[in-house]
Amino acid sequence: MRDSRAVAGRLAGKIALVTGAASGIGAATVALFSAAGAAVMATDRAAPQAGAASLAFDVTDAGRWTAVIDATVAKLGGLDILVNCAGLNPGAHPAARQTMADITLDDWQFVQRVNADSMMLGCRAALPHLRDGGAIVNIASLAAVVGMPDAMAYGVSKAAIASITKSVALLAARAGRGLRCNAVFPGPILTPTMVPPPHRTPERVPLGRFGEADEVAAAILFLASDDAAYVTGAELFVDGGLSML
Amino acid sequence: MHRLSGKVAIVTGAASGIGAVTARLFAAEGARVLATDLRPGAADWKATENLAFMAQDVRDEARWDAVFAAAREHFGPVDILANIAGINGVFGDRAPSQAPDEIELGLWREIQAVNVESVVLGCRAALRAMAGRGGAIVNISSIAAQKGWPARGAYGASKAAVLQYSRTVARYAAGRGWPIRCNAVLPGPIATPMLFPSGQTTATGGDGRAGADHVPLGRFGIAEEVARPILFLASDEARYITGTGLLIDGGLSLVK
Repeated sequence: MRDSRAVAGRLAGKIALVTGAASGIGAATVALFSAAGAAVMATDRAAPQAGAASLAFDVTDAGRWTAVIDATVAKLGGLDILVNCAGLNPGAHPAARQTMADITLDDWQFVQRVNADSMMLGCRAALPHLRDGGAIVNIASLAAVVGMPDAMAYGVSKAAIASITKSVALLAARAGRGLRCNAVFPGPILTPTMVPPPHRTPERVPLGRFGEADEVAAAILFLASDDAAYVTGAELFVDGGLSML
Repeated sequence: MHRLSGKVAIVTGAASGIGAVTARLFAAEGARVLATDLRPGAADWKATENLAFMAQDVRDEARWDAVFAAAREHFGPVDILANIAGINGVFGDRAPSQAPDEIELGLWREIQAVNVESVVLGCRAALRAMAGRGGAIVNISSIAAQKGWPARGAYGASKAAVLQYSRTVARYAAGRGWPIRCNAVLPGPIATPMLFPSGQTTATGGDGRAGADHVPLGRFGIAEEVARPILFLASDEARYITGTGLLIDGGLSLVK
C-alpha cells in the first residue's frame, strides 16, 4: 500500500502464516500485514528475510505442513490467518506455459502439485489450529475462469483453487467459530516472474495498466481482516476490470 | 491517517440499515459525507462537521443534480458514490406477491424504479462529476441477483440489473480513460429493517443465529459487515478493482 499508515491496527493481535513470501504478492502481503499489526511467519523455498519469523518450506512437502503450522503456533503464539501465496506461474516455470499437446504428464502433475495440492494441504493443516474468527486466503487467478490453451496446466490448477476455496469455506463454517476461506483472483500483476502473454498488453486491461503486488496484498488484507467477517467462499477479482469483459 | 481522508462521498439510503452504517463509517474514516434518504434520519442521527443529511427521492432525476451540487458546494468535488437506497417490495406488514403469475405491473415498476433507475441516474451524475478527476462508485446488488427466488422475483431481477449495469459503467468509464471505478456488492441475509421490517434485529431477536440455519456461517450478517466491504471497494485500497461483484453472504451462495 502506498500509505501504510492507513492500515495500522487492522490486524492488531493477529498471527499470520504467509507462503511464497520471498517475492511478488507474497512479499507484499508480509509487508502489508506487518504494517497492519500482524505477527507474520513468512515461508518460501529459501527462508525470506521478512516478517516476525521465517522458515524455508516447500509447500509440496505434504509431511511438513503440520510442522510449519506447529512452529508458527509455538513461535508466535497461535494462528489466525493463512495466506496460501506459493505457486508457480507461466512466466516463472516452463511447465506452466505449455499446450495440452506439448506438456508431459509429469509436468502437468508438477503444476497441480505446486499450485493446487499445496492449497489443500495448507487448508487441511491450518483449519484445526485457526483461532475463532480466523481466515484463509488462497491466491487463485483470472486464469481460473478463462481458457488457457497455452498454459493449460496453470489454468486448471487455478480453477482447482477456486473449488478448494468453496469446499474449505463450508468445512470451516461447520466449526461454528466464524472461520472463513476466500480467494483472490489476480489479473496481470507486475511481479519479478511475470511475463505477460503476447496478446496481453496494458492497453487490453480496462484500467489501462498491469497491477502491482501491493494492490493484490490490499485485497488479501481485506479478506483476512474482520472487515470481511461475513465474507466466505467469495471470489475477489483484482484484475483491472478484465473479468467483466 | 484514515482510509478515506480527503474524500467527499454521497451515500443514499442512509436513514437506516446498511446505508446508515456506511455513511457513519465513511465519516469516521475521514470522508466528508452527504447522506440522503427519502425519510429523515433515525432518531439518533447527528449531523457533524463531516456528515450532512439531505432528503432525496432517488427516482427523481432533477434531485440527483441538486444532491451532487449540494455535496460539491458543502464539501467539495465528489469522489465516492455509494448507491444504497433500495426496496425489496415488502412494505411494512404488506407483502404483495412477486410470483411470476401474480405480480402487478405497478409493483414491478416501483421496484425497478427505486432499485435500478436510481443506479442509472446516480451513476450518470457521478460519471459527469468525476470524469476529470476520478472516483469510485459502489452499487448494492444482492445474492438475489443470482438465484431464482419466486417470492422476490422483481427484487432479484432489479438486483441482477444493478450488477450488470455496474459492469457496464465500469467498462464505459475505463474505456473513456477516466480513473473511475465501479463495483457492486452482493449481500446475503443481513439483519436490517429491510429483511426484518417489524423492527427486531433478527428473525426472532437474540444473537442473530435463530432462523439462520441455512446460512453456512450460522447467523445473519449485520449492516456493518456490508459497510466495511463497501468502504474497501470505495477506497484507494481497491484501485485495481473495477467491474466486479463481491458476495457478502456468509457462504450462502455456496450451497444449492
